Amino acid sequence: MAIEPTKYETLYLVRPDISPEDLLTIQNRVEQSVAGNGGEMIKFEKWAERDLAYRIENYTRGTYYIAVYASDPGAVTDIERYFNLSKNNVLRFMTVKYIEDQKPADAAISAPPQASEPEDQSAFQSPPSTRESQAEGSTTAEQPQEAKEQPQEVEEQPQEAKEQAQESEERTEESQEQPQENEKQTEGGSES
Amino acid sequence: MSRRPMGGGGRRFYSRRKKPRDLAKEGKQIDYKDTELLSQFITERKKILPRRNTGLSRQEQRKVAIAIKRARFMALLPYTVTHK
Repeated sequence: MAIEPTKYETLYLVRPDISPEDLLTIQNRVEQSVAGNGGEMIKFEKWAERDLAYRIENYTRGTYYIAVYASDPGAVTDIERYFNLSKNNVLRFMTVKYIEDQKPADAAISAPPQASEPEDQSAFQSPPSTRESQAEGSTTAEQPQEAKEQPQEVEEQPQEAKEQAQESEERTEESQEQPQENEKQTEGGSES
Repeated sequence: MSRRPMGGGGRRFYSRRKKPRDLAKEGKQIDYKDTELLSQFITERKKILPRRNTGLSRQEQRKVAIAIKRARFMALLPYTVTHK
């Protein structure tokens, strides 16, 4: 029984000032490893050149390459061993199981709500500036996905504002109370 | 979020949001390379948001969390805002 080989996706990050020859060597090496393990390359492409989220080896920028292939797991260990040996060129790499894109039909169904999204966002983002500045807890994920939900969101805001107001009132009360307590304490201390 | 002294009475915290969100229905696949999508599920300080705030299903929250961690490793997303 022939088992269908697993599809893998390897994303690797090379330093920005890599020489074209080295780049080609890496690509060839990846392709060799796949071929050597009876695999098949599905895709090889430059994915992106972008700023890194944090510095790696003092590089702030890097180029990502993506290789998709179907093969034995042997190819993965082979490629990763090679990447580990060429640490000065390959800054990061990661192999995951390749997930096929969902059927375009699914995406088409959900396209209409997505299309209305930008409007929702602009409508949503203008009023609740207080909310945004409120805290860490605030999310960009709060964008309403459907136009229907929008009224609810609007209703919620006044409530929240009230709650915040209450809280701040409570806080001021507390801060007023504290000094009084302190006075009492000092009085008590002086008496004894 | 405001820090209040313990035992102050009243609500100690308030929920930010719990609006169910289904990425599958939106036709979005959770992929660690999709930083635009993933950054919706992290705080300003780049922490992963809890499920009570993201409104995701258990399964999707898990996928998102894993994807964020992968993206962090690949330097697509930061671990923290205080990276040197």
